[in-house]
Amino acid sequence: MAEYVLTEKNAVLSDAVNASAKRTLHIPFGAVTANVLFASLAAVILTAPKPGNVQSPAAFLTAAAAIELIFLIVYFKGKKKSTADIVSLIYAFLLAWELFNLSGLAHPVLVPPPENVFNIFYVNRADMFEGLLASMSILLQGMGLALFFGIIGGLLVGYVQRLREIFLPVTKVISTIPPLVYTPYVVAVMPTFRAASVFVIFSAVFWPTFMAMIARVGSVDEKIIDSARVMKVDLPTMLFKVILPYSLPEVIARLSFSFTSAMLCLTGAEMLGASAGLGYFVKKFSDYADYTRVIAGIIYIAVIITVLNVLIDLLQKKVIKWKY
Amino acid sequence: MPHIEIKDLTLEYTDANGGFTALDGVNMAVEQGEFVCVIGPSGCGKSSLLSVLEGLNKPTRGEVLINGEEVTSPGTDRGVVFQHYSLFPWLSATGNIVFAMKRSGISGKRKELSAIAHEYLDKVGLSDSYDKYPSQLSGGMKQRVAIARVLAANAEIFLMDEPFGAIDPKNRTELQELIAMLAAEEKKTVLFVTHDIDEAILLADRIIYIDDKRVKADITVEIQKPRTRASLVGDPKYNELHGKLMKLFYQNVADNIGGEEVVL
Ligand SMILES: Nc1ncnc2c1ncn2[C@@H]1O[C@H](COP(=O)(O)OP(=O)(O)OP(=O)(O)O)[C@@H](O)[C@H]1O
Ligand SMILES: [Mg+2]
Repeated sequence: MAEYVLTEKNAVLSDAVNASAKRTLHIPFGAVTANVLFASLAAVILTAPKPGNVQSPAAFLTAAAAIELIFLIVYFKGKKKSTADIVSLIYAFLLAWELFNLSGLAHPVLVPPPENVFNIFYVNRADMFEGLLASMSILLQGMGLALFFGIIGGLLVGYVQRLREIFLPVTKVISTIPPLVYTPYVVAVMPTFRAASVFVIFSAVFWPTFMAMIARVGSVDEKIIDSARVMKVDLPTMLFKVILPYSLPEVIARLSFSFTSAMLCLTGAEMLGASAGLGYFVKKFSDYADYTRVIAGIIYIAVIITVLNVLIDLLQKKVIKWKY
Repeated sequence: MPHIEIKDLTLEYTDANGGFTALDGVNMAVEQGEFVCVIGPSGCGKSSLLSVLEGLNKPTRGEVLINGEEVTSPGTDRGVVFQHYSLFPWLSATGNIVFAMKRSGISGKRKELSAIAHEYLDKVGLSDSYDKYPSQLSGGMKQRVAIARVLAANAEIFLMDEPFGAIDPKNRTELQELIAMLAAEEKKTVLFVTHDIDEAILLADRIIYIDDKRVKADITVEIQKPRTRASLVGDPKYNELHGKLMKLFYQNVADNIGGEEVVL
């Protein structure tokens, strides 16, 4: 036994040695590429002569530096190999954009210089932050209500075979209708824009959640039910302490999907009738043909979606620590 | 009064294509603290018998009494270990045991209940797996947790349906000795289903052979307890009993072959 432990420890040790040897010998091409691109980008921004319409490069540089910082943190935590490649892609894109503008080939209105676009984040920061709050409060309310009623409703309906057989086919139809189809109608019918957006997000998230929950509850492993029954569990315990935890991973796994469709509906709705919010920001300035602000708005939305997706990922890992 | 009494039990399953009789007039009794093994060929109705005792199925005719009272539903006076691993995958080993304790009306702070659960996990040799989830446990470890769970829930009666059926021989032997020791120590009444003759002889005070939907033999095991695999080898009583049970199984096979020959 003692010997076994020893050899196992040795194995672990030699593994570690091997791994560190590999790390020192291995040239991380992805990371090198990313850093070379970052350096070139910074060099171009700082040194290249600029046409007269280009504003201060401070915001652009700050954004690039922020990306580099996040990249370095993620990279040295050693979580994901693909990070370097994704970051390289972003740098390559920014560099191409910058060079295109410097070359003088770019249409100054349709393809604004990146310096000006990133400057918007500074100039319009109050507007953008307000837009974020407006959008997020609607998003959270719609998604929160949808998840709550979808999960609880699906739990109850799924548990009763008769109800399940009624609702499953019906929800299958409803949940496949893209909410964007009826968004304009809802915005027209509902008394306030906020109510309309919440309603649209609610339907975008509720129906798929409700359906997945019904299906899941209907197919709970018989063995799980039996082992709960022999412990004489009452109905609330069965529903909330057995079937709910059993089914929850399904819903959580769909969370990033639900979030995507909610975001889609929200920005869609905001372009129709809002007076604040992320989608509204983009829509308003595209009406004025202010493409600098439009592009800034689009980048802003992309960044927010990314951040929220990362948060959802973390949540998934925190909540579901078990596997079947 | 016997601890468990089964009187004239008939169980019919009904489904879309009619009924199927799984048990037909079963009579038996189990005394307080007795370890009874139920043995018989596959499909003879062993699991069906246990399902009635568990309260998962209702008798079509006849009755099942525990302490003289009719069984109509599941109850925490009975602890069940299934053949399939029946732990909740979203709870840790400790969490599973605490869940069962709470169901049995054992109350206390979460910390106190966990401490008790840990004691029982120690008893079944899982001192280093308190916080592991079922997916992180081997089959044998899961059944150890299931045993710790019924022990902690403090049921008087253990109902076990081929609990070690899917476990490798080395672990199975360990678990058999463990359950024999624990049942004796805690003075539990045990009804243990198996189709393994050696397992039955090792564990049982009495072996009930079921075939053809009813009790065909009821044999008291006279071999001194505690028994181990090693102590049984070469024991004339063991050889005799083993032969007797083999004959019961074999007789059944011979009958079936005979029957088929007639058909041919
Ligand atoms: N829910 C059910 N509906 C209909 N028939 C069933 C049902 N459960 C079991 N049976 C039938 O009842 C008979 C007895 O089944 P049971 O599971 O009690 O056998 P068993 O002795 O436990 O067999 P094994 O040793 O293979 O586990 C079998 O013929 C089986 O097909
Ligand atoms: Mg069985």
